[in-house]
Amino acid sequence: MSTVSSEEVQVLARLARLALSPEQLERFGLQLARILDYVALLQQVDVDDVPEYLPPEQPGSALRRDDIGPILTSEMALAAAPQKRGRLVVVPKFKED
Amino acid sequence: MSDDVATLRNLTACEIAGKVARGECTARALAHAYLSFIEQSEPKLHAYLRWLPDSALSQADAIDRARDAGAPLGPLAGVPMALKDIFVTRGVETTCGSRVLSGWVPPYQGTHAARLEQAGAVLLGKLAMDEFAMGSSNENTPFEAVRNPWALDHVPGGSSGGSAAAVAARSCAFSLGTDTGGSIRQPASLCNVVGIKPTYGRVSRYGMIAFASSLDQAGPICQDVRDAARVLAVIAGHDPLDATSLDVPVPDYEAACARGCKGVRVGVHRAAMDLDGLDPEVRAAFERSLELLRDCGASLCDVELPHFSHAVATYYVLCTAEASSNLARYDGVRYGLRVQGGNLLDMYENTRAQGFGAEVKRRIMLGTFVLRKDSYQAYYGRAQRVRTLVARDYEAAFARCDVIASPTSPVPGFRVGERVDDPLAMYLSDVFTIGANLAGLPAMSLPGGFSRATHTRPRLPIGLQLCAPRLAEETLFAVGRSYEAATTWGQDIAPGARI
Amino acid sequence: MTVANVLERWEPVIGLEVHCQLKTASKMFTACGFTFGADPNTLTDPYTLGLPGTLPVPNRTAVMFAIRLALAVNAQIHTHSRFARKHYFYPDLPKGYQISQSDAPYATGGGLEVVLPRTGERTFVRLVRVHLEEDAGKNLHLLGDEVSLVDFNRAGVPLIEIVSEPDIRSAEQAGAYVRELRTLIRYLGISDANMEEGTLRCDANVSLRARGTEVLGTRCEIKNLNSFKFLEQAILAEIRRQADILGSGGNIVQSTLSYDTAKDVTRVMRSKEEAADYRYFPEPDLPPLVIETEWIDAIRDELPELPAARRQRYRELGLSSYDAGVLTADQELAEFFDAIDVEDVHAKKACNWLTVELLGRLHADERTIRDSPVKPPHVAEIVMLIEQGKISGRNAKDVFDACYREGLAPREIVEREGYTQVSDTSVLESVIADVLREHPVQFAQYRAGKHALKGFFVGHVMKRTNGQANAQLVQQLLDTALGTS
Repeated sequence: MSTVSSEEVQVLARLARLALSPEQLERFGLQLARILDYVALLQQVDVDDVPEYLPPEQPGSALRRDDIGPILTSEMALAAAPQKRGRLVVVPKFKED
Repeated sequence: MSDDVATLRNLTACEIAGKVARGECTARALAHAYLSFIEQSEPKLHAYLRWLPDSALSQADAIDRARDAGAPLGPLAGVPMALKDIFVTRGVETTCGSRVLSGWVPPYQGTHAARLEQAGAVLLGKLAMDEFAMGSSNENTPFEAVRNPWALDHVPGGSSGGSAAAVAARSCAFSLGTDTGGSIRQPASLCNVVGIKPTYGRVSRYGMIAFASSLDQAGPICQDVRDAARVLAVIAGHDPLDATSLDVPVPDYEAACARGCKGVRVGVHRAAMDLDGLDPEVRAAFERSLELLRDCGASLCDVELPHFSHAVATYYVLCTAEASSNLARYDGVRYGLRVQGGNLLDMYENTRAQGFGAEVKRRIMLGTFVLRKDSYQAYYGRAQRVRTLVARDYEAAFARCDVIASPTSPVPGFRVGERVDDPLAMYLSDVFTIGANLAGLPAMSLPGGFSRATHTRPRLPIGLQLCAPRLAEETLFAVGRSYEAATTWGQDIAPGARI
Repeated sequence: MTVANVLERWEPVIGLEVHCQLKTASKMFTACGFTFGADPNTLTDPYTLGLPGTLPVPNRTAVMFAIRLALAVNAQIHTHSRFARKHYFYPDLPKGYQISQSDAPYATGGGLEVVLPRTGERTFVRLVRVHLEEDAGKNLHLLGDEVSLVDFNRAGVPLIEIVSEPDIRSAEQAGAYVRELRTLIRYLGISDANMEEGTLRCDANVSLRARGTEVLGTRCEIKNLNSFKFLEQAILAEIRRQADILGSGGNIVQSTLSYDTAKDVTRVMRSKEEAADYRYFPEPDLPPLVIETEWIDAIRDELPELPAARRQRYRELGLSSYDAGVLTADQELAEFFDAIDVEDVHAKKACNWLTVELLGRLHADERTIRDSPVKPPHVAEIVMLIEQGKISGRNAKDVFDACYREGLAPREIVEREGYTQVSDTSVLESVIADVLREHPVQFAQYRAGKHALKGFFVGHVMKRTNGQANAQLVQQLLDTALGTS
């Protein structure tokens, strides 16, 4: 029986940028544990020498010619931006990493 | 000639296209008929997230003008249809059933909407779905849950619940859905309509909001097999904007419908019949279907799918991993919902917490877990290798048969609210459909009978699933059409169509 | 222990990651065009913005450029490689992941020979891998602003990342390595490779290792180095920082650092505990990248002469290592040199005219070789005019000046100015005789032993002939006339 502690759920939530309440942390922990238990049955399968799945090969790897296609005007590009200033998208101030 | 609303709505897509082409009916009259019915039925059905009277009528008018001018018409000219809200439509709000995209109006047109428009189809509106295509009941939604036109307190299935319900209720002549683990076939089965998931890569994914990139496919949900053949032919084919789309010619699927079933070998995975949770009526309906197929000239044989019982686990590792990745872009920066205030981290975390529902969050976290550096080999890497084994199972099975038949769903449906608290139980209802997604194979669900009405359960549709080898959609159309012609279930009209 | 003491026992071990922005017309995975310096958010398309429903399609020319580079560094090109998603949340990363290559890059191995200009010391720097990826957009933080701003023009531009083994042992070597790489990249025509414009970027991994052992020390990464000067200074600063720590008995903590240019120190940005888990997995939207042998061969056949081969050729012509390096480092200059049509034996002289006389003048006028009024045939002419004794060395400079100023052929200038060198023996004998007759005092002094006066006579002969006398011949004839031959 796996357990996924609230701390571990918190780590996942941070990696996935999801704010969760303590109650949600606990509930998800239980649900994830149950699902992981179920998924553990994959460990029983003998996968020696079995490659990771790839759809059947297509010739040419779908490369395209270096042609320029249509672009969006900055108006269209920014039309849906929740916050903008002139031609730039605005986000809360942060320090460069 | 005054075709009343009900009569106009009782035509298949092919019949409509024929009438419009021959001038027996105007596209406007048709669009109007469907739009009126949508107004009437939606308060009970909730299949549509939005419908577009003005633009639909003006599209219809354009078709009528073209017809009058003697211009060539496309194969679906004048046919009123609707799209699952996962398909990107320029200038028309597209939400993917999620609050995080509420109000998003795309500046570009997806391939599916474009090809259908070019074929002359008239867009009535966008259909409800489980959020980001994650779900099997259309209950994973911040909006109203869609109802099954066969029983309004039952689910229509999911994630293409709105697409199936709308066709069943005849509030559109056909629709498009998407299928990642069964999301076209299962709702088609629960709503007594035809749905097909093509071979992976047969239809472009450009303009289809991604859930699980290596599993997603778009496909038609229709009143009958012939309609499905016509619609598939319009949307299928290579798309240079999708590097995974197949550069292979599209055969004449409609012609394949007439091929018949003689000599076709139908494989049955007997072990699955002993599945826990397989409803006895579903099982009985399935056995009846096998008899009917034999009557049509097919022969039956047993096949093995040794990794069948690992398919659901494999699927949930892979689809959640890919989903956690595909949904990373919903961060409040460039479009969609943004929860302001605080610093950058707060913006990300609150936007996504408020924008995504519980099921989506759950899958994102599971996906994040399985992709972590330390977990990769044990989970994602391993699941991809089991997937190879699943694909090989099907390949081996198809050495002995031409199609594999099974029930589509282990149960004929369930009540709204019945399964929302048990995600694992919900996942297990995909047991018959998932294999085709893992192996990238084409599969169709068609009306395969009904459960008996009892005091605990109304009369509900049961679907038959056919799965064929890669790029063998023609076999599905041939066998499907034969079976359909030998049955009357598909002609039953849902009570919800008569509201 | 002082830093110098520490470095007696510990040696710097440096590896570099260089990113080079490719000069394709469209972006790596979408047909959106890009140029330098455009207004913000005017070079985007649905894919660039990470709009829902969009998909990547790889740029064939970017792959071709990548193959060129791999060939030029003798890396092994893999027939099958895969793109992978690298996940992290950042405002300039539209999809929340970057499409890059992880476990299966398109090329591995190879290397570059690096020569230190100062000492001529040669090092071979091996490469770990080369891979393709897409760039992110740009974040802007204006002083005093209460928000940050994002421009997505650069998002999706093709990049090649070149990762070296930690074979570099000094900041100077690091600079030489990146310069060599830059020259190579420019020769291949795949990128402008300009550090100031950001089309060439460098991160340095630095550690100290106890001399005589194989065990590597803990390494630290310095990011965002955008000039050669800062690259070398930052590495020196980091070596000092690590030496300080080791010298006082401490341990190096694996960190990511930035370089403070004003204070000349490296600063920790984040330490290992916060290191990202990028959750790499193979990109499901892209099939494996297939690079067939035929394609590689076709590209190999079209490769230009590469810097190493060119330098070798110049050395064989008799040019010094230094000159060979100077010419090679600037492709246009080298091409100018190659166009000077003189026999091999005169190559060195031609080179001197080019690098000393011409470059000197061009530099003073802030012009480039491309704008030079002196053309290769002009340089060839001057060399041959001198060689054939038709003008004197002194006059040659004047001819060159005139050629530079007016763009005329040297021949024409010589004719116009009458610079033809006097090599007629009888003429010179006559001039010498006149000079000696007019200066009897000095003649007598010379005869008496004051041989330093020879220069005096040479000077007068030159004056009499307007500097056109063949100097060598004057020396000879004067010797005879003075009775010293």
